[in-house]
Amino acid sequence: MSLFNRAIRPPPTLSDEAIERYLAALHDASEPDPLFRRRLRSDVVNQFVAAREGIGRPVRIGIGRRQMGRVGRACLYASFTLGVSAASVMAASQEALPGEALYPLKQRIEELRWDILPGQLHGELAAYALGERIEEMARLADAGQLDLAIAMAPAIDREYERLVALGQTDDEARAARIERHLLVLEGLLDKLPANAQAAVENVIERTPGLGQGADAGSNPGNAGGPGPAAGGTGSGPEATVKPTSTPKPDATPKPDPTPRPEPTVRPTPTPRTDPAGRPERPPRGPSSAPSGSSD
Amino acid sequence: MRERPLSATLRPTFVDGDLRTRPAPSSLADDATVDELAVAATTGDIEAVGRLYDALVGPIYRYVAVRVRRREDAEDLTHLVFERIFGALPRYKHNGRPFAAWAFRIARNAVIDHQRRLRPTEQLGSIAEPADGIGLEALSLHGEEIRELQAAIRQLTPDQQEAIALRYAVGLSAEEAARVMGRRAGTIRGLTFRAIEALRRRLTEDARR
Repeated sequence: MSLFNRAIRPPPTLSDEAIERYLAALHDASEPDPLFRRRLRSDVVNQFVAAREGIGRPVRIGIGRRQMGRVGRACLYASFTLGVSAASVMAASQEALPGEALYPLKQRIEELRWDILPGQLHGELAAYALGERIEEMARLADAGQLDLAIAMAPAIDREYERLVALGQTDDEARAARIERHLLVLEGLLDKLPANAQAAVENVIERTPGLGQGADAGSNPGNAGGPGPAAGGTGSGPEATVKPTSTPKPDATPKPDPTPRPEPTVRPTPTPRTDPAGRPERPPRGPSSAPSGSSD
Repeated sequence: MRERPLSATLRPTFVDGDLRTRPAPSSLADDATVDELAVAATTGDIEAVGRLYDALVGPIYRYVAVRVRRREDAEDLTHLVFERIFGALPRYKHNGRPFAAWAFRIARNAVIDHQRRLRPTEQLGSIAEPADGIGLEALSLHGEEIRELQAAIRQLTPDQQEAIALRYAVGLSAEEAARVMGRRAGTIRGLTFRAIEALRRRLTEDARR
């Protein structure tokens, strides 16, 4: 039966009807899934409406999403995780204090900002850096880490020098911000030891307006903070802002590192002349509030 | 072999493609042809867009599903094809050729691109593996036959596969398939004949095992 018969009989072949049945099954089997059909319909119509209304192309959810292989997805997730981690570390570093592990990263980020941002923003960066150093000093002093707080004094002096060199102390908003920082410094004087007080007083003294005010008060440590702030509350915000922007006709080009009785400010690149013909404002201080409000 | 005419698969007036001018897109008749729907869709008629999609999604999906291995690929490619079709619709100019032929050419190019991308990673011998999915669960009784047929189709030449897909999965005539493939109708008939003979041989061998 088997071997002999198979050898002499032609092999059986599928009939046309069988082939047709196969192909008909192929036609019927390849119908789209109804859910896919409905979803694609809404996508297509929405996309067409969006294009017609000029809204733009919606996000493609088709082939591009599934074409990414396992390695691609792994790379994507890894880069995403890395990015989130890096962003978290960078954000955490912004709160770092000297002596902490992330503080060097904070400094590098500030340097990077300085390098990549255009020159017209350097004034803002210098003011920001000065504020950061002063805040760091205040937080260190509050935490009782006086050695580190003392070590911050040269950095504050350096940041202020950079700010003055950029001629950024004339702008009223910046001047107000610097003044706020200096008020913090004044408040710190009571907390710091004597050697640190000298460094902080040096910075305060060299600050236009506030330095004069401190001199006028003849006791910066006692006057620290509340004096100007109290003047400001009585006469509006201008009282604490405008004096720092007063042009100094006797300003010397290069500040002397030693304390001077007269505030020294480098001449700004564009010496201002008061267009309104206002008289020179009096020095800012506890007694300057009434004159400040008269402007 | 009995040919499955396109008119039986899509719409009675799919093939003739005669364009009757209609003043307003909203006045589309229930039996509007695919070409009429396409012209109305170019004017921004949303209803025409939906009906055009309804008319084309089945044939295009079937064509793509026969040419690729996986259901996910078929759905992705169908999505891509419709994205391209309706993305290019504002620039479509009806010049007498059936809109469906234009749409199927887009589908054909998408399948070719897809296969070109997959070719370097295709392993030898993977053709004989059972495909995992053109609605197999919907036809559980014929699941084994469908797998055999798909495995046999994948051993055909690309042109034969395309001819089989266009003529038997989609239901185009030889002339319509020729328009899509850019060949002559006689060539399509020859490709179909040789493809069926090859399928017969392979399916017979499978049946004897």
